[in-house]
Amino acid sequence: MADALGVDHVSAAYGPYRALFDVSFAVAAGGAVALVGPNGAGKSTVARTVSGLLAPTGGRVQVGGRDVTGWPAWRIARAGLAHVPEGRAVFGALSVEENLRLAFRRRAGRAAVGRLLGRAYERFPVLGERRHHPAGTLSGGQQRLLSLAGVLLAPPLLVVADELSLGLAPVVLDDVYTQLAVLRAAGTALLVVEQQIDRVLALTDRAVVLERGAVAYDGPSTGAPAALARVVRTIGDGAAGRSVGPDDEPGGHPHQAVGER
Amino acid sequence: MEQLIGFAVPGLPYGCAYAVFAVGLCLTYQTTGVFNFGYGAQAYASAFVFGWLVQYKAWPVWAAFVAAVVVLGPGLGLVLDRFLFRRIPSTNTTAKMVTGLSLLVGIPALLPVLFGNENVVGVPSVAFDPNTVYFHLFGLAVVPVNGIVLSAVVLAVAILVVLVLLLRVTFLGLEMRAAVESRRLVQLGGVDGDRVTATAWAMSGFMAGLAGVLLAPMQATVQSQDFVTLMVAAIAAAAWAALRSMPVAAAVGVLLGVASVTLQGYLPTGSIWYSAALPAMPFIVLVAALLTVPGLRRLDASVDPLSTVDPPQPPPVARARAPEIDRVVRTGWWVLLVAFVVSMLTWMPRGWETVLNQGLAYSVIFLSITLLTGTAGQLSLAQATLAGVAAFTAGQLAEHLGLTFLVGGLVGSVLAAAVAAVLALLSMRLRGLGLALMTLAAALLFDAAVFSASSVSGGTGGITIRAAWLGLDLLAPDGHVYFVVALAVLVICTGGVVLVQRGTVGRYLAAMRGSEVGAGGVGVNLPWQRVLVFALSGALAGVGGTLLAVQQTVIAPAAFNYQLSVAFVVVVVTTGVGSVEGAIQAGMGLVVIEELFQYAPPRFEGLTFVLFALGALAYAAHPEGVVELEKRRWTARAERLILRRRHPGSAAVTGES
Amino acid sequence: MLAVTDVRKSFGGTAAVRSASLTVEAGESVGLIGPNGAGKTTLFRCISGELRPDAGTVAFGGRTLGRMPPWRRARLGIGRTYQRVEVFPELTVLDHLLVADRAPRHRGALWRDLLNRSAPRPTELDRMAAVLAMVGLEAVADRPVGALGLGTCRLVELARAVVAGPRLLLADEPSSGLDGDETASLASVLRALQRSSGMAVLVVDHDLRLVEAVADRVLVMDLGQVVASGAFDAVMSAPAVRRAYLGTA
Repeated sequence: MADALGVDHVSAAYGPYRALFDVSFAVAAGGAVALVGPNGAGKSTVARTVSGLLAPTGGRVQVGGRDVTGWPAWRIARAGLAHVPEGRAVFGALSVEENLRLAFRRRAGRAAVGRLLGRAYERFPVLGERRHHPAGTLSGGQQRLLSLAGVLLAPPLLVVADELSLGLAPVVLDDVYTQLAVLRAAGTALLVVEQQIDRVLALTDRAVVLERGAVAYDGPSTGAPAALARVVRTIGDGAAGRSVGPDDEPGGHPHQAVGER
Repeated sequence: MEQLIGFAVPGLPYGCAYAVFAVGLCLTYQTTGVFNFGYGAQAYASAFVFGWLVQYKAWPVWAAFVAAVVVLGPGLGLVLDRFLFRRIPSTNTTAKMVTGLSLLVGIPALLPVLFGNENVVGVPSVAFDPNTVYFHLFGLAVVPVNGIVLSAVVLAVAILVVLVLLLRVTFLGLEMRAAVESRRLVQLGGVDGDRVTATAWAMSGFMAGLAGVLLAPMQATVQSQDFVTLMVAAIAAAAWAALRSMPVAAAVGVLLGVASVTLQGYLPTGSIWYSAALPAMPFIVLVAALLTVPGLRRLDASVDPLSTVDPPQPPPVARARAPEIDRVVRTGWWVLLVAFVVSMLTWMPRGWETVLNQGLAYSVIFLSITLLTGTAGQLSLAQATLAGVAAFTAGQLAEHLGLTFLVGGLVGSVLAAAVAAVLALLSMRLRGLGLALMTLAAALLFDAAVFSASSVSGGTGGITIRAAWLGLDLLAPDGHVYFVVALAVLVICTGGVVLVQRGTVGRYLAAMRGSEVGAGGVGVNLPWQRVLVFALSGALAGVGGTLLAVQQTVIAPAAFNYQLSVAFVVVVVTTGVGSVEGAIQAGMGLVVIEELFQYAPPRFEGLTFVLFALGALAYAAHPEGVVELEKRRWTARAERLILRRRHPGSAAVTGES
Repeated sequence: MLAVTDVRKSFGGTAAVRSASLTVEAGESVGLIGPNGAGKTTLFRCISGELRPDAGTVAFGGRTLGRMPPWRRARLGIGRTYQRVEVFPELTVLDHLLVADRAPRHRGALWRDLLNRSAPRPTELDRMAAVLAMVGLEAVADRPVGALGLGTCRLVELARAVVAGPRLLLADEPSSGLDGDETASLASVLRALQRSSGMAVLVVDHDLRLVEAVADRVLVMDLGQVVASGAFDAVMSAPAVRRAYLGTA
């Protein structure tokens, strides 16, 4: 069976700003891959390139065995790739329900929209409560949930989730990961871009570590923490000789609440 | 109260046309990011074709309506989308504006070529008979509702209701509303963004056609000028809605139409309020919106959450000529200049000398565009107005104080510079589209309120002048005094612009054009530079305007109206806005081509502007100008030829830069 | 010399920077790092004047900057490079330096241009040549910048920022869009410039190697606040920072 996603020697750039250098990896049908690395490494660029938002400057992209290089984003979306962009990727002026309608209509067809809406409200009651409110009035976490709900309810061939944990409360994040596991069990392949590696590596069986727009590691998830640490250690090595301690380090700052569990 | 309603009802057709038009403008801007300056021309095209079919082809009204509004309107919109606007990168605001402006200039000029230049008069009302009074509003005798009012209201309400239903109820409408926020995000949902855009263009084209046909029966003849009033009122309404909220745009549109007609009824007919303030009302409303509506300052800023995907604009092609070629070209220019001067002084027929003299004056005006748009990157649509300010000042000073045109022209140019500086100060916080709208509003304001006043311009007939200086009659039929003076002025102005471009100020301006953020970051005093370049450009336009006035002997408002301001930009953009060569080519080319078309049948008169408009349509692909592009191609060819001769075997060393 | 006190900045109800404070001493080189969305760039833009903070103050050389626009801050001696390069494509490299050198000093008197007396003077040429030599751009001095690659453009921005002799250089993501070698050479140029001119540097970057090579002291931002400060390796090994920055303990 063809891979859900094939990335073959892909390079990409924003105008003159080169972001990816000869990146290759694959997501098997029904498989799950974590895409990790320090920020600025090009993880989001990979996501945008495979979903067609950004045309690669070199290499090929395949979705479900079909060569989709150079296709517009909407055709790739109809070919079965669902890209959940980072941040608040919802239509703020449209209502929650309209956002969901847009997400379901092309993926599941006109007839299924009503049924899927019902299921979405059942599974995420908070969206049901606010179905007629503009999506822009939701909190950051709820907006994230809304953009995820679109793909969780109408499972495509492949989900590309960018910066999944950004802005999600830990409890919600647990729930989202559970949903992703269910999705995967149902046969959808996953490519998850993450900075919080602990949780994502538990979900996926393979991991790709990016560093400066190039692949630094591609292998089983279990090897990823070591690979990532190597990337980090190369940073630390040069500074080994110096010995000034941190002069202020407040403990218990709010970020820990997000990363811990 | 009865009187108020009596005055207000005849304003309704105007209000309805403004509303439909304003909503159409918002619709295209929202769904495609294009502020369509050509929209007025689209409306004119539909109205013209509608009237023409009925009048000259004796089509039934309904068939003409189908052809002009249902077929031509959306068809034109689709063509513009498919072949022009879709190809322009979304970040290139200037290219989008220039393309719209060339449509505004080109379409009205093209229509007589296609359909003949007979007037289209007495355009029928679409749905109801204009002369029948159908009922009296509230049963009041002063408020008869005739067919014009009735069809305007019925059609406008119908189209707005249909639009609202489409946007609110259908899935296509949902896609369009989503595309407004982010064209990329909507594509991730599997929606074909290009199809959504095309639909929006077709719909807005339909609405333009409808607005045109609604407005046409109220004019005796269908003239493109009337559609400018429509356009400005609609822009003002759209501006109050920050180009966003369609209900606000519609409401302000109706209000504007009704208010202007109502005020017409109340203001004393002889007063300055009636003659100046009333026609200027839409522009005042527009300027007020530009100064106060905060959303307009952020027009060019994106709200798309995925906007970081956009690559930055590619840098323009660097321009370098091999030294050998440079020497040849420079010598060529001198030879040309000498040949030109000798010809003008010896064998040139009188008629052609007059034409070429006019070209010299235009060249000076066009230099102001070279400086402002080419060097500083600011698009102004008021350059003809600034020229007019100086010309009328000089004319009035000559008439009332007996000052010579030298002094009058200098005073006038200083005044033009001051007007330009004030304009720069007023639009300090506006960029791109906002600035273009502000200058356009200023141009229209002067047309409507200042140049039209007979105390300023002597009315439509203008002021007749006789230019004499130090006892020399500039226009003596057997002399060349005007030619010598104009050439000297042009040479001095050209030299000045070149020196400024090469100097420190020119570098600052080039820096600002390249990156305003970067220029500010190194400490360039941005507000001062902006005021300075506007003032300089105003002064140049003033000098050129005075020259033109002297040459034409009659200073008429029509020589300095907004249409010429827009046409000037289109002409200069075609020949090359980056260099002084471009301005001179534009000045001479314009008059020569216009003169040549004198020999063609009268319907081809407008073809000059069609040609330049076609050239300007290529701006998006070739911002250096089509003529400039061809020159570079030929230079590159010559370069290859020369280098091949000099170093045989190394022909492939230099490609096109 | 630079003192940022309790700066706050929100966009439409979302706080990007909540109460951030930092100081940069004269001649000191400081790196500002942190995860995506930590508020680094927003804080940076508040310092350079492109954004106006909702609350808090930015002071430079003992003077509160308040609502001062960027071009006046530049004249006080704050140089700046940009994440998305802001070069002037049609000007040559030398012209970039000339603009930057002249702009803070005088208005570029129009009459000088009209009398054709605006050519670079020998003293200016010397000063510019020295800067060009330091960043290694002599070979392309007369080329229009639009024709140069991104890495060179970053060097042009750097040269442009230092030619007028700023007291503080703000460098915003200088490594963005560059490959490893280009980043390394940019870092060494930046370090050399800072050492030789004695200016203070505040650099924001994702590339930790560049920050390590350039900065004497590192500040870590997270969720809109400065959460740690110190020498590079000490800060990087602090558990809270590693968690915040890399998402793993």
